[in-house]
Amino acid sequence: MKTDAARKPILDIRDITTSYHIRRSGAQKATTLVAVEDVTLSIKPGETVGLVGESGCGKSTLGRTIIRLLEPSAGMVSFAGQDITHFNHQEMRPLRQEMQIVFQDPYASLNPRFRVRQILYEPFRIHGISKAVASQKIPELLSLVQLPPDSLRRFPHEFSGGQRQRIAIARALALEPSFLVLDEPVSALDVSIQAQILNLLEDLQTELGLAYLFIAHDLSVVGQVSDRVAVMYLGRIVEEGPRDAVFNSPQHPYTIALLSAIPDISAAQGQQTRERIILTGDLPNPLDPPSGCRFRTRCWRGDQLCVDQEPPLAPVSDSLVACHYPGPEDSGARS
Amino acid sequence: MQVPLLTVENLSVRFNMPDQVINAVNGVSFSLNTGETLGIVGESGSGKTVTVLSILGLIPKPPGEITGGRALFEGQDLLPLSTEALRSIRGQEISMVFQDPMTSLNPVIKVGEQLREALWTHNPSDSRSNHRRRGVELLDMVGIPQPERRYNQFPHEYSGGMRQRAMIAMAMANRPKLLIADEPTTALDVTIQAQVIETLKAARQETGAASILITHDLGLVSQIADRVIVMYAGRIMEEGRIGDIFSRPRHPYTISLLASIPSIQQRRTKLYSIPGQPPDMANVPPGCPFHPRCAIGGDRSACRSDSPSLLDVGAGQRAACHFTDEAAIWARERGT
Amino acid sequence: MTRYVARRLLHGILVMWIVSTAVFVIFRLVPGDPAAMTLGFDASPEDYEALREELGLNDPIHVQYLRWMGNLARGDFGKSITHGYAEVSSLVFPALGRTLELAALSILLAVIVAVPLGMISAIREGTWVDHIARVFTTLGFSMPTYVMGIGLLILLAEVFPLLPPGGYVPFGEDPVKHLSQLIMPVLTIASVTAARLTRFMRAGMLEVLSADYVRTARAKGLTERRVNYWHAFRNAAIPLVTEVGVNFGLLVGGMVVIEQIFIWPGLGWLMIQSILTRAFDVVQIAVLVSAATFVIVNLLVDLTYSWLDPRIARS
Repeated sequence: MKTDAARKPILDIRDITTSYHIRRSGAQKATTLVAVEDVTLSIKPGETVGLVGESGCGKSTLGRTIIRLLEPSAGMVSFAGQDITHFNHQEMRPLRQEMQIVFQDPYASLNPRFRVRQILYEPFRIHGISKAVASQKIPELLSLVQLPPDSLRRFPHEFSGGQRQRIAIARALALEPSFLVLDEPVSALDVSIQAQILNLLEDLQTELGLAYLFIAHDLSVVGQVSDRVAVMYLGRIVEEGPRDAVFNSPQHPYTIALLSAIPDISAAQGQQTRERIILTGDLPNPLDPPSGCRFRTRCWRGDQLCVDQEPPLAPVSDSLVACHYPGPEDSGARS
Repeated sequence: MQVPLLTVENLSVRFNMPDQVINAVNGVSFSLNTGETLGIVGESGSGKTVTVLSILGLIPKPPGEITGGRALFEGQDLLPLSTEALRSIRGQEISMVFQDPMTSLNPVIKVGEQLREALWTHNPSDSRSNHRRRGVELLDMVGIPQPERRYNQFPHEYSGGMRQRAMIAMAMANRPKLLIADEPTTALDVTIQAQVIETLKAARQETGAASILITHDLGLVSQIADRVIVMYAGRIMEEGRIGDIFSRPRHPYTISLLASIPSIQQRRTKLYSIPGQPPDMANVPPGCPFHPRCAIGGDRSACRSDSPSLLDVGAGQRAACHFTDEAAIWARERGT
Repeated sequence: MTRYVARRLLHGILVMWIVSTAVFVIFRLVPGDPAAMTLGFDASPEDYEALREELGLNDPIHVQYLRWMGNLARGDFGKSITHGYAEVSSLVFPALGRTLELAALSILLAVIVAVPLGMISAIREGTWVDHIARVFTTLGFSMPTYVMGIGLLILLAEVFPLLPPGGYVPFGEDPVKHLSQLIMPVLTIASVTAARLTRFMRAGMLEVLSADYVRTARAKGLTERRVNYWHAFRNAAIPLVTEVGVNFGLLVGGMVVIEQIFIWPGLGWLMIQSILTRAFDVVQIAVLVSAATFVIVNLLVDLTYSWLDPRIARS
């Protein structure tokens, strides 16, 4: 465990709400989609917090709000002790060196007409760092992400998906940030390449003391890299806690269902596995979330209380859980 | 001895591109018994999809070209058949479910109409109202709520999971003997994936169809297949029963792949990562295509010059490796 | 849906308001006012002044503008001085009708040729049919309409005098002659438009033919015919509707040269004649009517599109 309780968080967000105004074709009025609601989270230096959830749960929106690519409609974001909630573009500039984001699709996030050298030079140019310093740093970045030195002369299309993701990581590391948002960094990659990138990210963290917010829909990947894990459902965090607590004794029914839905190879290897819980129904429309607990429409524990009252995120054993009836699943449960 | 439902022998497929030739499938052989589920596992470019599309004549020709082999379905070789002759096989004897339910249904035709069409094309004499009734039944069977209403909706009015259910309904419409599912859950969310897999299992049980599941997800295969084929660079690396492949893998590629998946059970200190990059299919390494990334064969001359053939390693398990014994020891040491 | 229509209508009205204002500004504020334009430079100062008064050009500019917009709103297009005080609408609308006839027949012929040709060319990509279709489209693209028109004229009216060398007789008077006069201009316009539409159709079909749902249709065991002409065509046809509409709109305003060559008294011909006779009062209305036609055609196209494509919200 790399966390140190005494250290101050590098990132601290309190009661963040982020909404979009969307206009559907034909509709006269714009509707408000609350993508993230009342989220509180903190990340310490050198720590990895995993953020999991299915599509539309708001995890990417949260990531973008944290590094202030989006402005929250309520709440507070503070970075390294500084309140940056309402920083404008100009005020954010010096902070951009400290916080970077790596996106899912290494094909779309690298300019196809730039050589790798130019791609890696961009961050230096934007922040007005001299070419001399940059040209000294660029080869170092390349070796940091374990790409051969001759890569500099080549274009993104000459690389495989995994190598492109390495280039994207190198670019994010150029200005020596202390915090990275990794938004589905390995979901576009093949299994064998995924392991390479995960290992690289862990090595970089040990070497440079980076803090990560690791956003992914794949629980096993999140479980591999995270110190703490937060599970989101329809814009809210439903469970948050240390990695082992969340994975080994999940308390929220959604977390339990999510974990049991992962096809695991251990059965085929003769080990014992959990009973499968198959959730019924689809995700509710985020424009019109259910009253009370948002998960109640797919939950097997719910009753009238869940319809009436939104459960607060409250401590349950080692974790924080937003459920009126938290607790591990009994063996005789519905499957 | 049972006669297999499908026997593929020495299938080779290549794509003649303007500037290069891609040997997508190289001498693939396998067979499938009635009622059995075979998993085909591999990373992108391993040739797993091309293999099954070729069997049904669904690869675009040109640039695709089947350069050799046979695909015997109930004793009949499908490869030389004309499109017209294949038509009575497709959707009737063998049907397919594709990866992306968002793009696999025609956006401007109602779901019910697309379903009815699958029935009508193989039973043109049956009445329209019969097809409709059967169509609604099928939607109901795959767990689509309010099937009567849903029958008259367009694909965009369905969620991703429902579209994939509709695809399954369409595939099962004529009670095929073989159902091929190509990455059927890859585009879906985890909880929806689990639902779709249950639907697939139920549909298979209902009709007693044999099935082929193509996926990159080893976990998925381990849950629903009886046997599995591991492909790499257009070749079969290893084949065997699920239990054998997952607990006693004999090919270094299979072993490496298993060691590189994170486990939810416990956080492994470090994942094994296969070095190097996936093969460039226009320039596959000579000898064993996996040798440049192999922890065992890496520098050995046998691996660099001779392509190993798929040989029995016991109990119906086959592996294409010169050093299966060493691989087995390596696997035990790694504790996979 | 009604909201959508209402919004599109408002949008159209806004465009027409901008166009009519632009016409007003251009015709009042450019050097040489309408009175001078009508009379020419050798007119006497007295005549000039009288005409200015008659046209209301001595009123303040905002009064003139309000009068102009008010008249347009009431559908009063005024009288033409140069045409012996004839109603401008009695000149412009018959001309518009003749242009629409020409444009509609040309588009119809172009679609009849382009749709099957583009589809077959895509389905049989790389075969001789495809090659011939592509030679045809390249020719249609590279040859200017006037070259094509004059070429036809020389061939079919001079060398082999099969058709009248242009002119216009109303259908009611002599249907055979009317139709024979239509042949050459329609052929000329249709060949260019057909080339454009064939190319569009071919590209659209090629894209659709490689779509996942086409593969699904094949995997279901449908006949090639049903796959191509039902599943693929339905998707490729939707964007074609827009393309046909846009081409039609462009034709209405863009037939100046063709109508001149074949002496077809349509809107383009009327514009040229009015410019030559300095009938500015006709020109400005002709410009407006041609713009309005374009706006209306586009509106119809958009409505058809949203009706054809179920993915566009109809709520």
